[in-house]
Amino acid sequence: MILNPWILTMLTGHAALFFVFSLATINAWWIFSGWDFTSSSEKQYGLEKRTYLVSSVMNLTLIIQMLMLFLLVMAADELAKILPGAMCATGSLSSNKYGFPLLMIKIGSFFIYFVWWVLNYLDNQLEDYPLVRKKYLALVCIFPVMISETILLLLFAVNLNPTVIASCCGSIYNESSAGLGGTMAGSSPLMTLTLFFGVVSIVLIWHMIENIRGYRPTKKKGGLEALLWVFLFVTALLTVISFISTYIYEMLSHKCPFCLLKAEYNYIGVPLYFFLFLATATGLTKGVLQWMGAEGPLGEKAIWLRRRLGQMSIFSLLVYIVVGYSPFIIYYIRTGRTI
Amino acid sequence: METPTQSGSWLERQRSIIDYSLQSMFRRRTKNSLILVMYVLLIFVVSSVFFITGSLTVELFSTVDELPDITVQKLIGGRQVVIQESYFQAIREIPGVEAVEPRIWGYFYLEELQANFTIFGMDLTMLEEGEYQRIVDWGPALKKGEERPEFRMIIGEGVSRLLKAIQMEDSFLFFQPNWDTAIPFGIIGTFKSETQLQSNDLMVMQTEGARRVLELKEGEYTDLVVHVPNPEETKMIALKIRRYYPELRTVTRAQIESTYTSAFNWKAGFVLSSMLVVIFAFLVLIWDKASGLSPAEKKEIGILKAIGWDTEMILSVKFWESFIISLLASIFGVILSYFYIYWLHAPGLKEIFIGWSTIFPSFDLVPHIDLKFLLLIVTVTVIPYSTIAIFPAWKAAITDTDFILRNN
Repeated sequence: MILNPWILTMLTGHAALFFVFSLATINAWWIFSGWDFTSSSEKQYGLEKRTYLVSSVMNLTLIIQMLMLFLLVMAADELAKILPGAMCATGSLSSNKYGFPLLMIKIGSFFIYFVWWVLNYLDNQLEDYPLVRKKYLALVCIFPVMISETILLLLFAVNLNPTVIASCCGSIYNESSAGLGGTMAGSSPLMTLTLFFGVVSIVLIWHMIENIRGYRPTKKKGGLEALLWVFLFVTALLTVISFISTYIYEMLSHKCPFCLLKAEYNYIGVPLYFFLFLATATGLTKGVLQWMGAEGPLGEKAIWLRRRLGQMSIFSLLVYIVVGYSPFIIYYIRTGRTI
Repeated sequence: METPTQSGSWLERQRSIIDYSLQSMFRRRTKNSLILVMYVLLIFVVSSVFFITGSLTVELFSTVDELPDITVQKLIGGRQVVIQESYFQAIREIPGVEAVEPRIWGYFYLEELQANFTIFGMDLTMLEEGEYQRIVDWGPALKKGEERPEFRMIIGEGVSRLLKAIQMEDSFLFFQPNWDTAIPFGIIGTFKSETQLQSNDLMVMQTEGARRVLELKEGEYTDLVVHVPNPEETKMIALKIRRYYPELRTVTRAQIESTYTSAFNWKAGFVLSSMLVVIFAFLVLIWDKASGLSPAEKKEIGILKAIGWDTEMILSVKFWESFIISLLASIFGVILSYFYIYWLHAPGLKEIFIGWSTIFPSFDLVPHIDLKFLLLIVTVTVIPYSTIAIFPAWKAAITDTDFILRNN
């Protein structure tokens, strides 16, 4: 454990998050177990009031989680200054075995909160809260994710050791090194690009088919769509490491997904990741909404919401592609060749 | 009172709600200003810690380029001892090494003033003629100094102030217990204040003079400095030196940088962690202040609900209230700490960060505000505040109309 303002800030922010989230979960459990919309008892009335608390808390949680994700990457970048050998966020995150799992669980929980948040929004549109027990049960099920995130953060912070030499992104994201980073960097750009643009074209064609009259959305298709977006997110990260980064840094050996967030590269990573996350979150939620299936007034609202989410995800995806591939296009125009 | 209607765009509705929130906050100014004052103070303290850390780190890093690539010291029994001339040649022959330079330096403790001076020996003509001429305020040419060129020196501002107090600002009499007579050293200049963090307690003297004061024999040096033009090679060359001569210790610039950063971060972390108690106390106060709804406030919410506001709208009013108060507190807190650090030079806080030296350097802090600090400040203060503020807001929003109106 090192007494570092970045670590302390992360712990403080996370403690606040954990505190409200726990209270929301307790309330969610009460609501789940006692909910009876037809009842006019005082208990039911009290529970209905509690839904407002859970909604407010989850709105806040989503915002804080976004901020904390950003903070984690920035903190890791700052910590690199005091960890010998580390040059950027990669080094700090890999300096103990909890760093990358923490980052992954943070990204994952961001998407989960987003899906929940949209479901809650949809449910609140209707007078009789048709999804109420489902969504509160879901919230109770999310809680273990929050707990494991807390444990990982604590383990990461406690095990940060400035006397152990960390690795730099040049060695982790290197074709010749073993491990996940090396495999990701070593995977040929041609393959990852084919995969990524393959998925992108499926998503685009899917979007077009949906707009044709007579298209029948089914539960299975929804689940497939959600999975497709997760896959798109992963392949997009792969292309960042194996292809996009090469043209941003203009260096063959530098393949780091974090350095492009720095000022040296005009913060190009900020819009890049923002739109990738937005595209994935909205696309994923759209799939989940369909997978859940809904009828009656809820179904109508869901169709409207799915259309909005679909537009947002396609738009963000296109912006992501423009932002991510413009360095390559500029490079190609300037030099007339690829790296 | 303006009643927001369901009609109108989302933006218009929010605008009306903000308008209402502002008015309602203004009506309860005593309570809200108390919260605001506490909040501003909290943000002020937190941002002061970040600002001072940032400035000091920047100040140090601005000089880090001047640091030697590798410093070589000789160890016997784990203690640093003088290093002999014989090592130069061998180290110079390592491929990649541009030059090796022996250094003479040490400390001189002056009991009368209880001050510790850092003595550094070098060829002063380099300072008098080279590009570093501009960092020194040159004093009047001294007759004594000209007579004995090996006994002249340039001193830092802190030293100069101390020596003025004992009327030795033109020449200083050095004396070590085993000497027969004291040696007067002519002071030929003072370092300018830009370099104060490094030069404050410094006495730079001609090599021969320094050798006398520090009682080093001919051919002995305090340590060696190795210049490596290619930074990529530094680590490897340091390793080679240690392999060839296990009795030597190497310190690279990167190691010094990381140590400085750690040191300042540690101090910031220490101050911050002692402040966690303050943050907690503040949160308890907020909880207490905000959760106790005054009868007037209850009545107001009751009336709002009676005329058709729903729980969500009252929640948005409360949200905007805490947003506005956080925004105001952040702005005031940050501005206040800017003045405190860069105009008043952080009295009280600076001593914690600078250190233990008996003569305190009173240097100016260079403003350095990183946007990253704002993220830190917000995370440490605004996030805990908003998580706490949710509960009183919810409590207020769910209050029942009939209950309030009947109990009035």
